[in-house]
Amino acid sequence: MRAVLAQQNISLTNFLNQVAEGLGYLQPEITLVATLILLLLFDLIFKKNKAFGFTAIASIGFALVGVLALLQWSSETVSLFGGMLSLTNFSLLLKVAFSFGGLVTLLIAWRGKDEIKAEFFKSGETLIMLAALLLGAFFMTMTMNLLLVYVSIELVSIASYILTGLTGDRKRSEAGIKYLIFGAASSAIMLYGMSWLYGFTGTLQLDSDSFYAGLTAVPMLPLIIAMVLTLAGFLFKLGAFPLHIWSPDVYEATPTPTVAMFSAIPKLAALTIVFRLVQLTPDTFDWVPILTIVAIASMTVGNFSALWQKDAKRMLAYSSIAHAGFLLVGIITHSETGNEAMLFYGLVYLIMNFAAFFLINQFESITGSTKIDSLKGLGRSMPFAGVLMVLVMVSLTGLPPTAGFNAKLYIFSALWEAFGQQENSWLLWLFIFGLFNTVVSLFYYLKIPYMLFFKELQPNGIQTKGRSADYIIGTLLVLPLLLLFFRSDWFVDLMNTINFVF
Amino acid sequence: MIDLHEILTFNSSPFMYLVLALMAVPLFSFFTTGLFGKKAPLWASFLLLLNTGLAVYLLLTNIHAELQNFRGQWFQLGNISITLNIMVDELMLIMSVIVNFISLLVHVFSMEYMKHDKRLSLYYRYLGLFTFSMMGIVLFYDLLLMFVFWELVGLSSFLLIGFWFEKKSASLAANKAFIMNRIGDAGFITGLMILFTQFQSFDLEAIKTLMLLSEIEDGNWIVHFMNNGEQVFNSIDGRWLSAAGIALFCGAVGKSAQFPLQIWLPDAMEGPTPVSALIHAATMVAAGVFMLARIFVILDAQALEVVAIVGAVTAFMAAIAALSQFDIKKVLAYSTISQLGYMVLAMGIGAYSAGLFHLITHAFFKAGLFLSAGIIIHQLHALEDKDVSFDPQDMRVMGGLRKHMPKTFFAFLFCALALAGLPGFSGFLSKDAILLNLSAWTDHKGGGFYIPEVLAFATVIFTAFYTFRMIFLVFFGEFRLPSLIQDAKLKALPKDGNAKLMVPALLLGALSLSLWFGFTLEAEGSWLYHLIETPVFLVPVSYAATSLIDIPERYFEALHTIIPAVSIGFAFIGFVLAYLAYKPGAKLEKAFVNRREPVGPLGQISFYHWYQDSLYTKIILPFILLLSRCLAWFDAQIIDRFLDGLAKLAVVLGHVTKWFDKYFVDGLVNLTATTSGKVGQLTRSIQSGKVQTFVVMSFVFLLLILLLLMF
Repeated sequence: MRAVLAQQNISLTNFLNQVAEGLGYLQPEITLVATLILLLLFDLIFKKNKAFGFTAIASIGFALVGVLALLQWSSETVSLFGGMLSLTNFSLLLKVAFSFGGLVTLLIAWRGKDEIKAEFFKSGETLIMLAALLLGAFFMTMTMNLLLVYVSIELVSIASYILTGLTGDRKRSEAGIKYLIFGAASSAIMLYGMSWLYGFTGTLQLDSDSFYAGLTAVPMLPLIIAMVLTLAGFLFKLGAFPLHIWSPDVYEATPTPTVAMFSAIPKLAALTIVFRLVQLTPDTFDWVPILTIVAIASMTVGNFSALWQKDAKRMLAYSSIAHAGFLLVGIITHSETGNEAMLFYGLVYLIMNFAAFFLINQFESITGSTKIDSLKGLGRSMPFAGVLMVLVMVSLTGLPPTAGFNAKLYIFSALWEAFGQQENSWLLWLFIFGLFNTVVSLFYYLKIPYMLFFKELQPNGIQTKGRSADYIIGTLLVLPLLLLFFRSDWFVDLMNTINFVF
Repeated sequence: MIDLHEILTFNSSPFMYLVLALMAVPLFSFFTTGLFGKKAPLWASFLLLLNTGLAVYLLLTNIHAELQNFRGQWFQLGNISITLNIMVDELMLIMSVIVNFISLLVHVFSMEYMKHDKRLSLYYRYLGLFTFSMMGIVLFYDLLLMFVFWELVGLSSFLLIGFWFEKKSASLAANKAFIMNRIGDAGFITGLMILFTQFQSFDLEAIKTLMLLSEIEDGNWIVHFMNNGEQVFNSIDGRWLSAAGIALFCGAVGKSAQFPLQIWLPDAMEGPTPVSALIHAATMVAAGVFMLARIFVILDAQALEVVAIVGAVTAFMAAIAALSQFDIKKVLAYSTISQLGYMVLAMGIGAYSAGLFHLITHAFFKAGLFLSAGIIIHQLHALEDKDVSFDPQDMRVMGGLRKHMPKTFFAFLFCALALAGLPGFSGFLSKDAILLNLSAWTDHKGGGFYIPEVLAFATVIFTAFYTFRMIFLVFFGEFRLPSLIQDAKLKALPKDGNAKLMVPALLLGALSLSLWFGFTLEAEGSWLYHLIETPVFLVPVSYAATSLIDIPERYFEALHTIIPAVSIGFAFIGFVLAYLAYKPGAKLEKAFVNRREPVGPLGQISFYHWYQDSLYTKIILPFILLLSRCLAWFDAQIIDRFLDGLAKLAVVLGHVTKWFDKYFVDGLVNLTATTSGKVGQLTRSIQSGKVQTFVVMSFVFLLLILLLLMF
C-alpha cells in the first residue's frame, strides 16, 4: 500500500478521501458483507428452526446485491481506491449475473434432497461461505492490482475449499484437502510469476504506465516465463488445462448446488482477470500461442475425458473444463466482436450450467444418485423434466434452437474474423480444434437424453412424480436459453453497451 | 403502320350493362332457380320473360343505330392484351331475341312436359345455364371468349342430353355428343392458335382489321403492325390462311352436326323433347352457323369451297337418312342436320344473308315441329300404364291423330310446310334464297362445282317426301295403337294438350308463315333479308373468293323466275311421291307398320344413315383402340420398364451407398468414437489418484507449454 501511495504521490488524507468516496460505489460488496455478518449473528443467536431465517437473509441479501449492482449501471469507467478497483458496466453485468447465480444456488439447495437442505439451512457455515465466495468473485471482476487479484482469488479459493470439505464425510474431506493442496500449489506458482512481473516493472498496478513500459522493455523469454507462471493461478480458478485436474474430484464430492456455483462464478471471475491482463499487456507480447495452446488443450482434454464419465457431475466437470477453453477463444481474438462473444458465451454458459445442475439436482432428489445410469427411462415417466434436460444438453453442445448455438456461433465467427485479419495460423488451428471438439462433445452430452428416453425404467420403486414447483423453476431457467436463440439480438444489444476498456 | 392498341381501345357506356344483363339474367336464373323447389319453373320462366323483353327492347331501339362495341381488359401477358369485346350489331340483336324467345317458349312448354320429373328444378337450372352460355356466344365479338362459351354450351348440351342418365342410351348419347364436339373443337383451337400467332389478338375487330392489312407476297402471308410501340412482322406460308379458316370451320362441323361429325345429333334425341327443340334444333346447333357468320369475312376462297361442299353433302345425306326412320324425333333430327347443311352450304357459297335468314326461319319452324312432336309423345305417353307398354315416339303406333289432336295437327302442319319449302311459308323464302345464290355461284364457278347444286336440289325433293311421309303416317289414316296392343284396352284416346303445351307450339306454327317476314314470295322482298347484309371479304385479294355481290346482276335475273319454279316443282314431286307411298291404305303404309326395319339396300342405307356409325365403330374405332393399345403397350413396356429400370438402379445405388455408409462413414464415426474413447481413457488415467500426482502433472504440462513457446 505504501508503495502504491509512493508511486502515485498521493497524500494520506487525499487517499482516505478517495477510500471514503470509493466506499459509496461498493454498496453491493458492503451488502454482501452485511449479509454474511447477519447470517453469522443469526446462527449464533438462534438455536432451532433456523432454516427460514437463513433462507430469508441469504436470498434477500443476494437479491439486494443484484439490485444494487443494477442501480449503479453506467457506461462510464469509475476508478476507485487510487485505481486499485475499476468499476465498469462489464463488471456490473457480471455482478448481477453472479448474484443471480447465488440466488439460483439457494433455489437448487432449497429444492434438493434432505441432506443438501440440511447442510445449507441447518447451520450458517455454508451460506456464509457462499457469500464470501461471491464477495471474492465481485472483487475479481473489478480489481486492477495484482495484489488485490491474489487476495480476491484466495478469498474465492478458501471459501471453495471450506465448501468442499465442510462436512465430516471422508470422501468430501479428501476432495477438500486435494483441492486445498492443489490450490495452494497453483497460488504459489502464480505468486512467483507475479513477483517476476513486479521485478520487471516495479508496480502491481496493471494499468499504470510503468507496468506497460516495464513489460515493453523486458526481453521476451523471461516475460513469457513470468506470464505463464502468473497465468497458472488464473487458470486454476478458470479450471483450464493444465490446472484443471482438481475439478472432477471436487465436483463429484461437493453437493450439487455448490458445484453449480463453482462451475460458473469463479470461472467467469477468473476469465475477467485473464481478459484484463491480456488487455493491459503491451502488444509486443504475443498472447495468442499461450492461450491457444491452453484453449485447445482444455477443450480436447475436457471433452475426451468427459466421454467415459459415469457420473453426471463428473461429466459436467470435464465439460466445464472444455467450456473454459471456448471462453478463452474470445480473449484470444483480441477484438471488439471477440469480447462481446466471450461475454455472451460466459453469460449463456452461466445460465446453462445452473439449469443443468438444477435439473440434475431434481433427478438426484428422486433417484438419490448423480450417476448417469440412474437416469434410465426417467424421461418417459417425467417427460417435461426430460425435455428440459434435453434442451439444456443441446444448448451445452451448441446446437440450435438454443442460446448455446448462438454463443458458439458468435465466438467462432469472431475467431474466423480475427483469422481473416491477422492471418495467424494458431487461430486457424484453434478454429479447427474448436469445431472438432464441438462434435466430440455431442457424444457425451447426448448420453443423458439417450438414457432418459431410450432406456427402460428400472423397476426399483422410485417415486417418479415430479413436483410442479420444480417444473416451473426448471422452465424459467431453460426459457432464457430458447428465448436468447430466437431473440439473440437482445443480448447482442446489451453487449454493445458494455464498456470493455478499464 | 397501325398499332394494335389503336384498334383495341377500351370503351364502355351505361348501355353496356343493359347488354350484359342479357347474360346476367339467365345466369342468375341458373344460380337461384334451385332455391324455389316446386315453384322453380315459374321463377325461371319469369326471369326469361324479363330477358326476352329486354332482348326485344334492345332490338327495337338499336336495330337502326350505329354499331356499338364495348371493350375492356381481361388480363395482360407481357405485350399481349387479352380483351373482352361485346359487339352490338344486327346479328347479335336478332340472335338474342330468337334465343331468348324460343328458350322462353321451351320453359313454358316444359312446365307441363316435365312436371312429373323428380329433378325438375335441376332441369330448369340447366336451361338457365344453356341460355346464359348461348348468350355468351352471341354477345362476345372475340374468338377466345366465344370459344369459352362454345364449350359451356357443349357442357349444358351434354347435361341435358344425359338428363335421364339412368337410361344407358341417354348417358351414351351424351358422351357421344361430347366426344364428337371435342373433335371439332380441336380444330377450333387450332384455328385460334393460327390467327393468334399471326395477329397477337383474339379480338375479332383486331383480327379483321389486321386481316385487311395483311398481304400475300410470294406465297407468304405477311402482316406488319405495331404492338405497344414494338414493330411486329409476321410472315407465314399462305396456306396457313386457308388452314385457319378450315380449322375454325371444324368447330362449326362439330357443333352444327355437319359431315363427318353429324352422327351425335340423332342420338341426342335421347334428351327431353323440349330440349331437343331448344338446343338440338333451334339454337345451339345453329351456333356453328353463327360462328361461320362471325368469321365469314376472314375465310378465303379455298376454305369457303370446303364449307360449301361439306354443307351440301351433309344436307343430302341427312335428307336420305330421314326418309325411312320410324322414330318421329329421329326424322326431325335428320331433317335438322339436313337444314343445317343448307345453312352451311349458304355460308360456303357466300350467301351470308340467305344462310342467316334460313337459320332464323328454321329456328322457328323446327322448334315448332319438335314441340308439336313433343305434344304427341307426351299425350301418347299418358296412355301408357302397366298393361299397355309401347314406344310413344314410334310413328308405327300413331296414325289418324288429326282427328284426335286437331290443334297439334295444325301447328305441326304449318311448321312442316315451312320445312318442305312451300310458298307462303317462311322456309320457302329462305331456302329459295339459298338455291338462287347457289345457282348463280355454280354458273359463275363452273367446272365440278355443279355437284353441290345437284345435291341441294335433290334434297328439296327428299325434304318434301319425308315431311309428307311423316304427316301421312302420324295424322292420317287410322289410329294404329289399339290394333297393335291387341288384348289390352286403352283407357282413353289421345287429345290435344293443355295451354302450356299448345300455346308455344301454335305460336311457332304461326311464325312459320312467310307473312311475318314480308308479304312476298322472294327473299329480297323480306325486311329481315335486308337487315343482314352480306359483308365484303377481308382476306388478301389473291386468296379471296368472289363475293356474290360482285356477280353481275344478269346472272340473277334469269334465275329469279326459274329457281322458285323449280323448287316448288321439286317440293311438289316430293309431296306426290309421299302421297303415293304413304297415303292411308297405300302399299308401303300397310307394310310399314309391321316392319322391323326397311328392306332393300337403299332402305338400309337410309335407315342406318349411310352406315356411318358402323363405319366409325367397326373401322375407325378399332383403329383408334389399336393405336391406344399400342401406346399403352409402349407406355407399359418401354416407358414403365425404363422407369422400373431407373428405380432398380436407384435401389442398387442405395445398397451401394448403404454399404459405403456402413463400412466407410460409420467406420469413420466408430473410429472417431473409439479413438476419442481411447484418448479419453488416456487423459483420464493421467489425472486420477493422488494429489501429488495432480500437482506434478500440472507442473509438467506447464513446463511443456513454456518449452513449446520458447522454441
